[in-house]
Amino acid sequence: MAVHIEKIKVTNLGPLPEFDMKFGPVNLIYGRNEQGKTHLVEFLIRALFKKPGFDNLRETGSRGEVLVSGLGETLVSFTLKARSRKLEDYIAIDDRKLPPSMSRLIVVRAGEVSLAQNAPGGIDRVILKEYLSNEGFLDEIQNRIKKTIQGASLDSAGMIIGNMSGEIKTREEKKKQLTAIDNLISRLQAIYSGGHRAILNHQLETERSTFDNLERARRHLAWQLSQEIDHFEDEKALLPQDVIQTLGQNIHQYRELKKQCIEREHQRKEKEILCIHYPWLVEAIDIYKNAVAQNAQRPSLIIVIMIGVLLLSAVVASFLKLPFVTLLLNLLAAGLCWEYYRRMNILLAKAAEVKEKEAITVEFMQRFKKSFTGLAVMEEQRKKMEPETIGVRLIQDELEKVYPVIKGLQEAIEQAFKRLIGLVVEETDWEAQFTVLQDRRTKAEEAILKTQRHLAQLNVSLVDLLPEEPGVVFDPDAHETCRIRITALENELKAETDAMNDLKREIANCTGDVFSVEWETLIQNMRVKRADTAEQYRTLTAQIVAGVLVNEALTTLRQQENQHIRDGLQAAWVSEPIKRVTHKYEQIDLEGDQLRVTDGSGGFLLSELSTGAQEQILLSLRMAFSRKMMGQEPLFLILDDAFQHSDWQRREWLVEEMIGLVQHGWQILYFTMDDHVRDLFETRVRPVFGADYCYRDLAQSQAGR
Amino acid sequence: MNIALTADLHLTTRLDHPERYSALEDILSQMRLSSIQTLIIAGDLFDTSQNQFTDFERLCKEHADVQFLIVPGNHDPSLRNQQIAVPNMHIFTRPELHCLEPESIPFFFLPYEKGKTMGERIAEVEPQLSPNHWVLVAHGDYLESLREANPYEDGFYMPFTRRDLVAFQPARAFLGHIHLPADRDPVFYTGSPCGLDITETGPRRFLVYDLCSDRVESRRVNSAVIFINETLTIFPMENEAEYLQQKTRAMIRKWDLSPIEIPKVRLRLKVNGFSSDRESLLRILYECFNGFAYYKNELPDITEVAFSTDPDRSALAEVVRQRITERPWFVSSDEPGEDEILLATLKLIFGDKNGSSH
Repeated sequence: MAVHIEKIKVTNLGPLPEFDMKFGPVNLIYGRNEQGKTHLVEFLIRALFKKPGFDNLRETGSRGEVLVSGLGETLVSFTLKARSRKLEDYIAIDDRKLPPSMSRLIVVRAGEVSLAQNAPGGIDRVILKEYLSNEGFLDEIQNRIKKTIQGASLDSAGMIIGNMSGEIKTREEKKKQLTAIDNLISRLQAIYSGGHRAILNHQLETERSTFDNLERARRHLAWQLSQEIDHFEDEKALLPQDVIQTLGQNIHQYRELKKQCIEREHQRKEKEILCIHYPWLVEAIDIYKNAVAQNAQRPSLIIVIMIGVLLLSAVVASFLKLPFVTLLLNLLAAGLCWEYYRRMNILLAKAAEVKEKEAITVEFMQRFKKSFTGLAVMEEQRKKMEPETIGVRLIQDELEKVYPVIKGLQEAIEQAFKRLIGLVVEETDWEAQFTVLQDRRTKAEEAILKTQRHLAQLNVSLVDLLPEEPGVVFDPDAHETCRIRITALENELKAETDAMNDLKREIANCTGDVFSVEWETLIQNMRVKRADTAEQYRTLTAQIVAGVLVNEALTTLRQQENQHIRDGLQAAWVSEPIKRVTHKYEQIDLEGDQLRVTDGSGGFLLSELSTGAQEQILLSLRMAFSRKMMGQEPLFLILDDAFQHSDWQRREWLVEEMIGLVQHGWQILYFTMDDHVRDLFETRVRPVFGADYCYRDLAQSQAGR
Repeated sequence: MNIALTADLHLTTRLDHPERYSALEDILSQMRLSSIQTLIIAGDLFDTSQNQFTDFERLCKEHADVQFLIVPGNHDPSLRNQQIAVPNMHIFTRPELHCLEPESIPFFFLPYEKGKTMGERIAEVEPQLSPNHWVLVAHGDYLESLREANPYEDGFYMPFTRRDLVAFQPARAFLGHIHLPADRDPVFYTGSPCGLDITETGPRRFLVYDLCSDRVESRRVNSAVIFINETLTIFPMENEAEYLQQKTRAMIRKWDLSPIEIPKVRLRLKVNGFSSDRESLLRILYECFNGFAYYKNELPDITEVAFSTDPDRSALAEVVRQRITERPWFVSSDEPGEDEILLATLKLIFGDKNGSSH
């Protein structure tokens, strides 16, 4: 659908306080200098284009709108308001945006026909690329490819080679993430097994059950041992050590004393035999002495003499007036007198016994089987017998002291036995019974020690003693084996659990879950995470590969650029309009960055041609490029004194070319101050288009106001 | 002795989903022809435990010579024998080691149990299992399938791992839950015998297991409906019609359908990429898929297709397309296929559909 300017309405535009005009397919706005033509053109440029492409457009403070058809179902209004939509926002050509030079292509301001500012010949390579080689769309495509991807390549296996930055780096990170997730999945496969844990738990349960039974058996055994210890303690308590010790000592002492007594009795008897006649001898000696006394001599005369001396001395002393000596001498004399008297009395008393003297002699000889020679023999015999007699008496005294002790010991021993075994033990059995008792106590003590050691080995506290029968016998080896197996199983389970927890932590870290999340949820989230990551990786890879491939294709296309430009210039749609307008130049080609035209006589650079010839060729190119670019969607051309440098003949040819353009649906808005051009339109255009040709004289507009 | 195995029927009522009953009837019909009298269903026979069982009861009665051995799945975990009054059916409501005939290889029927792993339950009977001489029938996720999506069954249930496989060494493991058939010897997912929705695409199957030879055979279920869910990437080129026809023919060949299966297809076709002509695109698509019915009467979805008439861009795209088709690409499923690369290429050349160039 053709895009045409339908109407302009503007106020306060330079010399035009108000301007309002409806346009047809071809329009001529005529006005002399200072009547507002260029103001109108610039207003149109600023209202319609986002990128005007012209320098020094004047700010006028004008207000108004330009109504354009063909951009939708209704007319679209373009204004000078900031952020208002422009033509570039509406029009796309073959899915492309309008090229930046579009405004300069379809607008000629103030006779400025060059397509590129400051370019020799008014056109440059950029414009040519834009319209002839499609370089513009290649740039647009290439701009979509990130720089990192543009620098990348693919090897023969399709692997991406490039700097580790941008998308390539991100893809590599995604790949690593995928690998990490896959590693987690592999580890999950290897570690996560309810079955193995269940088996371990089952084994642990069985071992613990066995261990519990053995433990109960241990506690029960400990109880049994404690009971045994109590029993032996009771036994030991029945046989007090001090009592048994005392009993032993008593028996020993008893036996010693008894043995000693027997020996002494024997000695006594032996001694008694030896001195059996001793009492008779003593009596016989006495009797014999008495008998001897009758024959005995009178008391000694010396005693009488001594008495006399003493008395005499006492007299002398009295005479000497020594009373004390006198007294002493008298007393001594008195004593001697008493002795003499006593001896005399004994001699008189024994005289009766003499008769027995003979009988004693006979008896002595019978008893002692030795001859009797007198008292001396008797005395000798008596002296000889006297130690034995004393010995008997001493033994007798000794025995008399020992026997009570023995008796006491016997009683103590009998009482001890009665206490210890409750029976009276015959003396002959004392040692045997004592040994039995001692053995019993020793055995009890040994049993206690042994049982205590055993109990200590069991290491059961008193509170854990178990009287109940556990049903199994405690086997320390089995108990230890069981304990070791439980420890091993617990360690294995712990290792399993630790490994699982470590894995879970890593997966949760990967999925962003909390550690406490259930395994099922975590695994599902990992599945989702993997799918998302794989999708991102796949998308990135596709984008990078696509970018690399497209970039390679673009590079190839760019290498063909010159050929494309030359092919385009030599195409009929470019050369024919030039021929028709100039009636001279037949071909146009590229030489360096400039255009070269050829006529029958030779070739010339465009910059070397006259201004008029340049104008005609550039207008021809403008119209050709416009038609080519817009294809089936014709636009409008705004030409402000575009023909002013051409001679009158060529102006006619230009007008003819313009008529052809209009007949293909294009709209022409021609602004001129040139009466010839005005007349040319009147004579050549009006007859062709009739009412579709619109003419406005700006002088009339000002006058009409 | 041969037995048949299936899973994940998700029966409701015959009225709601006749195609699911139809698939089961086809399995029973094929069993009869092969004189197979035991059908094991590895979970999710019903869509819920509170189902209407009348239709299934009737089916069991009609096939009284067939013994139905059923393991509850995560969709029907509370299924009980008392709910279905037929003598030729048994539901294993608790793990049970069971010989189908004297002296034959024992089967361990393991119903789905929330929060448990298969290994935990297998461990309980482990002393009774001889390595490589027992068969597992259960319902849950084999961890090997973790890298794959399971669209109908979101979530992760009663896992079975490679470690369990190595530890307990079943001769075969027939599992339900993953609706897509998968053979990872000795682990088999029979898959659902009838696609439950458009995500379960392609012809379906059931398995026949020979207890004597230990051979597992896959047989196609002649289901009433075959869902096909496809994405087609198109390309704006001079001979776009021919290109499109080639692609669709290759796609249809890949479906591996017999002529009698074609009318059963319910196709969902999504087209992406770029085309030069909307009208001719639709026309060619209709021509290419003539004879196929569309899922819920949806027409081919071309909303993701962008249209372009730029011959220069099309020429560039063709250059790149040829480069894509000429060179070897990745074999891993994590890497993009030719179509994905082509689509990315087209987006660069023509711009994103919602981008600036259209």
